[in-house]
Amino acid sequence: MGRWPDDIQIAQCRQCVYPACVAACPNGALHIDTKNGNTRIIDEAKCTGCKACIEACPQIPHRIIWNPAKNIAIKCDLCANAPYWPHKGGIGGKQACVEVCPAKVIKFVEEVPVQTETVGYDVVLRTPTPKPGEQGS
Amino acid sequence: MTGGYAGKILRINLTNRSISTIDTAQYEAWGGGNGMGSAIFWDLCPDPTMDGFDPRNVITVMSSPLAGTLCPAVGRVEVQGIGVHGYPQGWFNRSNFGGFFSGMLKFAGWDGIVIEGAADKPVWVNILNDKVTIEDAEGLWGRDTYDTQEEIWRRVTGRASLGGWTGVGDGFTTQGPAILCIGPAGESRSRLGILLHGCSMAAGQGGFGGVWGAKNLKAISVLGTGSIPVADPRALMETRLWFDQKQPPRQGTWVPHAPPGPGNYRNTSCQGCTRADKFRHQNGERSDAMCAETAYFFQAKTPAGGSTACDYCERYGVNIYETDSVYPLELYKQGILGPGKAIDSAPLDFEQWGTAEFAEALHKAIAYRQGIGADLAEGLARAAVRWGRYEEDTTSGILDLAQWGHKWHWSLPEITFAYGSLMGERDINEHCFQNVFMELQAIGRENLPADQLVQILAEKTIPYTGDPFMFDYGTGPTGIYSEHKAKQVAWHRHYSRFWKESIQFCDHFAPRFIGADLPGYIGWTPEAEPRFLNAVTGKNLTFADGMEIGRRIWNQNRAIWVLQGRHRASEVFAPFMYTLAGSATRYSYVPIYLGGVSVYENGQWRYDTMEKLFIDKDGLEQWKTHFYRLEGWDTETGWPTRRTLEELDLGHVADTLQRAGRLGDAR
Repeated sequence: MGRWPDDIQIAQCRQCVYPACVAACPNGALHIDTKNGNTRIIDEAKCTGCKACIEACPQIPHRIIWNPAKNIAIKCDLCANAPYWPHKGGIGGKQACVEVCPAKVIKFVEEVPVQTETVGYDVVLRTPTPKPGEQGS
Repeated sequence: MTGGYAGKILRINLTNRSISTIDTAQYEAWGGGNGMGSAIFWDLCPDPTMDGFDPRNVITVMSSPLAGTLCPAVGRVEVQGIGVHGYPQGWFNRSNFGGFFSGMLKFAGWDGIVIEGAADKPVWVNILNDKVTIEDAEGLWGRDTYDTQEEIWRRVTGRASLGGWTGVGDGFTTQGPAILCIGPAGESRSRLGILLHGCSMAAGQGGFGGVWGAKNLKAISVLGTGSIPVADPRALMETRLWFDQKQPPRQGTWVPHAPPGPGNYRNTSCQGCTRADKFRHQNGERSDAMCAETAYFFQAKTPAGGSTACDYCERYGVNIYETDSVYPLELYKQGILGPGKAIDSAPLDFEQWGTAEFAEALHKAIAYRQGIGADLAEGLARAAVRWGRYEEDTTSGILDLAQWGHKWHWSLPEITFAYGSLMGERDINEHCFQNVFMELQAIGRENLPADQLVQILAEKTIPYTGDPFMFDYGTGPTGIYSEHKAKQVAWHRHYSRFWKESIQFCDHFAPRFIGADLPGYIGWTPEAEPRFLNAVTGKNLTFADGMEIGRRIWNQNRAIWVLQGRHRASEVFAPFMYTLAGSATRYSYVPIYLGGVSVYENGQWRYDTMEKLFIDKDGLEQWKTHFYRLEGWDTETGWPTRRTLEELDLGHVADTLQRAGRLGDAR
């Protein structure tokens, strides 16, 4: 659907530098997990299902997904707590999307790529409280 | 009901516009795809001897229990019903296509679709999860396949590009609907009409596009927001990761006649696959086109001529498997066809053959039945009959329809293609063993000598294990006319009916016996197939269990063909097949690509190109007797016996054959 180059869409969570989803969460369920390399992560036990994080995500489609079975928001945690994933996930581990991509176009990198608004596929994990102007590392 | 199945099958009657549901569990023993479609056809088709254009023809469009999951290479759909393409009759036939339709159908909650009757005016079917409506096709009828799909995207989602959300009942999706549709060729009831999904995923053989046209059915669109229950997600994840080690994911194509380019391009794949073996070009030409569509490159005078031919056949919805034939060109060269000749070629200018302009004119003439296009729209066999040339030209071989009006295709020396097609309903187009010899080209025959190869194959071909002579392609006592070859063809038919057409592992993917990219060159058949199936479904089927279900489907299909008139006497090749014209010499690329098949002679195995091998008439009859006996069919008629059918829990099929006076005798 759609013409080149928009015939394929890659829509994974970008782990934003300034994560609007984290800011929107009213009770800290969606937080920056310092134990998992600053991954932006949802604590399912705390999630009340208010959907504020979904609305806040600037990306279209929103990278937070509604789980209608559990009535909670879910998102990419870089496989830190992925169900059925037999490997150690998260930072320093293996991610399912990276492992199974047949074209090998998804990579976990430590160098911070340039990220401009909502353009690009770049994913950046940074310190828990990044400051404006602190692009790159 | 176990994992993998959506749980229900959509039943649409276009005549009275009724929509109902069939419980998938009722047909679960058949696996999915072809098995389920065959069983449903048996139950619902009032008379299998009817013509394929009859409004009462029942068409099934069936998914796979593995589609829409992490399992690779199963994003496929099996289409069945009485065909209109074959000659002298269309038989109960089948075709298959890939892409994203299969998974999306299941996300909407359906394992398949059954189409009965015919609408009184053009319609399309709109499936939004459980909500199914039959819509007026005004504004769609008359459009080509690409425009049709874009217009339906707009009607369903309000847009024709990715990037937004679409509400479907209580659910939301960023996806557009998956659409299966016909082009102008299907609308004009051409026997070459295809069903097209996306850019180039097509069900071509059988002429089901023409059948849809006769039913006034322009398209089926499906958009779903659900998911597929997986019985053992951990086992599925582990199997996928294990599999990626057994066969590293790969990109690129094995179609050397149509290399990518010019310009920017990237690889694409069907849903969930580990092989990104299609191309999408920035210039928009021949997107996702695979082997068959690109075959026009053989004749193309310029790359552009080949490239654009792909798009014209897709847009007009024409089966390029016939339009890439050089038969009309040969008649032109001989002065039989042309302006003012015995066969008038208007509106086509055969001096332009191989150009982009000719490709467009040819497909357009067929789709709209203009001039000579009216003959070609009936397929090459019927066109030749109209021209009074069928006998002569299938004897000389300039018209290379080997069996049932389907073209010579890898028929020799890898004879499972020729035999399998003759025992079946079309050109089987299943490269299981042909791929073995293509793979040897990359491995190097010196690295895998023939005696080692046949041992590997003999170990993997459950339940006929331990017989390396199954893979003797020579003409000696253990060769192509022997009971050993009967076993290989039976294995191939049973494997295909279940693992490829019902569970729907892609033909480019399975089975995998050997490969240059595999550890020790050893493939993952027969281990991977049941591992994936059991992880998703929670069943405990062995590979052999699957083969037995395949045998059951094959025998049920055989019974339908017998009701349609199949008999031992009719299972013969076209005359040219018994001459050098039937050998691999007719296409110089065949010996080059195959590089040599395994032959046993004077107590030794060796590789031989066998490029001058053709089929001996008496040898064929000898082989048929072996084959019928192995399958448990009457060796005099080729009809299944009651004992065979009851052994397969097909007693009701035996009853029907008996009532028709066509039950085989045990001899």
